[in-house]
Amino acid sequence: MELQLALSLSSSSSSHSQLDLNHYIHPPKPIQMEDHHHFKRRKKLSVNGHHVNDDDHDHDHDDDGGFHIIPQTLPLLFCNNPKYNQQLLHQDDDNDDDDDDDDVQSTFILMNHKNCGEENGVIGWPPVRSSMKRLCRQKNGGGDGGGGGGSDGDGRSKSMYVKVQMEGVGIARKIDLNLHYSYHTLTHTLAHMFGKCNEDVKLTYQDKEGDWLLAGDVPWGSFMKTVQRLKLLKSSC
Amino acid sequence: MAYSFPEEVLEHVFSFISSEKDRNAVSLVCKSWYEMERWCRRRIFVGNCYAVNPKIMIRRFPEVKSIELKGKPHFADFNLVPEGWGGYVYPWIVEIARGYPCLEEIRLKRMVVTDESLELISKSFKNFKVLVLSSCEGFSTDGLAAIAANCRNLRVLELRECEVEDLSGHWLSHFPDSCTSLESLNIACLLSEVSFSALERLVARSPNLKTLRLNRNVPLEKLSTLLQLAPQLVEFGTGVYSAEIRSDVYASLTEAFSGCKNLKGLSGFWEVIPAYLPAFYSVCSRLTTLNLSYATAQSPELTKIVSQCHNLQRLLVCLDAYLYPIQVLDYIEDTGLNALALSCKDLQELRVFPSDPFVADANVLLTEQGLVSVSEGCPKLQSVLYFCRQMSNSALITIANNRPNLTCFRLCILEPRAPDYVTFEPLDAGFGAIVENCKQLRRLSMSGLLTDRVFEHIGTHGKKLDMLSVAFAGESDLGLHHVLSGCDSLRKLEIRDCPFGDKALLANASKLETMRSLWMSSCGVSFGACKLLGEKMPGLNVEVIDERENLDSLHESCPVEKLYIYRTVAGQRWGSNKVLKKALLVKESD
Repeated sequence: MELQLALSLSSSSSSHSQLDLNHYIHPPKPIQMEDHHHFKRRKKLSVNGHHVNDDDHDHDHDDDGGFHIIPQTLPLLFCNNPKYNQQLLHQDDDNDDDDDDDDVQSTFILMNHKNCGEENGVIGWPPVRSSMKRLCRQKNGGGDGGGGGGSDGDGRSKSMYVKVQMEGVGIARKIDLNLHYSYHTLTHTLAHMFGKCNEDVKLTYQDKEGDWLLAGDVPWGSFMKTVQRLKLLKSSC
Repeated sequence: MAYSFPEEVLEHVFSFISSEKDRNAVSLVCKSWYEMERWCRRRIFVGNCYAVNPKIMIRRFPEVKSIELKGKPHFADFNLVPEGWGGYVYPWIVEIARGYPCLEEIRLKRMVVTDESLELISKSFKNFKVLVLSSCEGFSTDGLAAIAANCRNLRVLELRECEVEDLSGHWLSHFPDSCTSLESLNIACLLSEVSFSALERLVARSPNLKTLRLNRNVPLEKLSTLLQLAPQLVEFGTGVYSAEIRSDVYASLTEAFSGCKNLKGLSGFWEVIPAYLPAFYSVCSRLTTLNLSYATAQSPELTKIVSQCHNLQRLLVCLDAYLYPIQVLDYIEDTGLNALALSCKDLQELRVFPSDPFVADANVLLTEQGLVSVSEGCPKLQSVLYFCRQMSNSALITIANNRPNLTCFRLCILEPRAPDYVTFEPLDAGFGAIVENCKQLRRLSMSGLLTDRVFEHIGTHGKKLDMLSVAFAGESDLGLHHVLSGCDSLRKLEIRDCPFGDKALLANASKLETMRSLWMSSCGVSFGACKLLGEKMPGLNVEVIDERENLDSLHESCPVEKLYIYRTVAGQRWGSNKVLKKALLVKESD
């Protein structure tokens, strides 16, 4: 007996012959479509030629008596893949298993705070190639972007983002200090960032002790070790 | 039609037909055309190296000059295919070395290429001209040395995003002094230093060199030397684009760039020092391709560059989070993407990568606005790859309305299952608008929160869709069923982390024979269903890739980790160098 998925889609658009292998599989109990979802599905799946009517909507076909939403796959037995179980459960809106739900969510949240290193997050997500990931890993230093102070002297291969503020501009920016070699290139870049000329601005920075100093007095290397934040002042003052 | 044109005339006519599809159609007309066509087919493209046996290919097409092979599935790019899965090219090289001694061109993608393979290539084909390796691995600079040394008439050597074991930078010196035929050299993916003097001499004696892509270790100070030796370059990839700012270096670089009157494409740009960017402004107006995806471009620099690139057709860029338009109070900050929309009316392809996808910063969002602006301002935009942190249905609908001529749309919202950030609804309507309006859409990648509805839209409207990538989407087998039953042109389908089980797959089993391949990982397809497909579908190989222990005792109803199904006339997988312990081939041989 040919088994059809009783859908009102016109499958005649496909030129291949209707080959449905579902009836080879030992049929499970008829699976109901539950409309607990916010987004209703209007179609019903039928299994083994029995159409599931709307009337059956409220009946519990589950023999073991305990009713819960059955996901639209074959019943899973002996599945020892916890990741998959979590995802399956996550699909259901009416979820008794809120804890598992949180686990899945936290996996993603966890990913968001990590570097591109996928070891701690979802494998292969986001879909960025390893050559780009290598780049990303290089740009991300050990810490977050807030403070400076890259741990090694030659921080070329890591990035060192510090906040920059321009006097009179409300929005702060960030800049990767590791892209620069000297006060000259740094000031030049910062000035451009805020649409000013080199000559019109004075660069100041806050060091580890919290003091605000004029940039340029100490060697670049020492500056890099101690800088926390930057501020551009208008040099007319 | 036995009295049709003499063979020579037909052969001459066929020589103008280059597309594989047309060639295949020609060969189906009648026996004599089949015979004639097979003798004059010169290029072969094999989209899946396990779909066909090289012996079959050589028997049918005896006089082939150019071969292109693809190995691993696309998701291998994102580390979803385990080590040792396959894609070994050596067995192919052995056969074609025997069957095609006059072969001139080999192009490989996502294959494992060993030094032995490269050596065999270098020694087997007297007139070998073109070697292009994309996303390949398994070889070292020793293999490259063999190619350099033995291929007397080499014209093209391109390594695109390959993983190469760097044993020595001196492989370049193996090009003999008599080799002057080089037209294209791409070593951008090599991690260590190549001998600059060897490179310099090679460039100097290659008057036909049109494409030169350096790796990051070539210092900026040396670029002008190379550009002066090769002012005829059409495509150039710099090395690291930063150095101490010195006016003499800057001046000679500027002069060198302005001497390149034919330069149409620029790439490279690892680590950009903004002060050096104006050095290439003189070529901007001629540029059609600009790849800045390895540099984090700051807004003012990018704006200045794109404002001058009026003829830009293709832009790849890696944006600092700050470059995406941010809405602060009442204004949207002007950015590089807006400049792009204003200046580059010929833009056809845009790829935007995020530089720091994981830095969460409250002030800044990777938003959708940049893409909306470009879709408004660039009437020829056809191909989009866009990473962002937020998206809305209304933005997608706007993009769909602006650009019905899109052929490739790949959107990656960084957070899986992220809904419309304004309404918190799924993005079904947005992607639905894309497939409905963009009637020529051939490639689609989706992300964000998506229900079965989006698949209904795709099945209904995505009639030209050739490749679909789906992640963390859908609710039931209905979703997969919509796609498999509705997408008439579908050839490649890759799915990860979706709740699709056996039903849709088994109900559409015959569809699978019309496709190149189907990849499903972290879904709900059972082991039993895989075995059934393998048994009943002789034209398919069904591979279960599962790295758990005790694979043999896997219960019928247990879902498999990864599944790769592809059509094949080669039967069970052949020619692998290793026996895979953890992957199971599920196909009963007849």
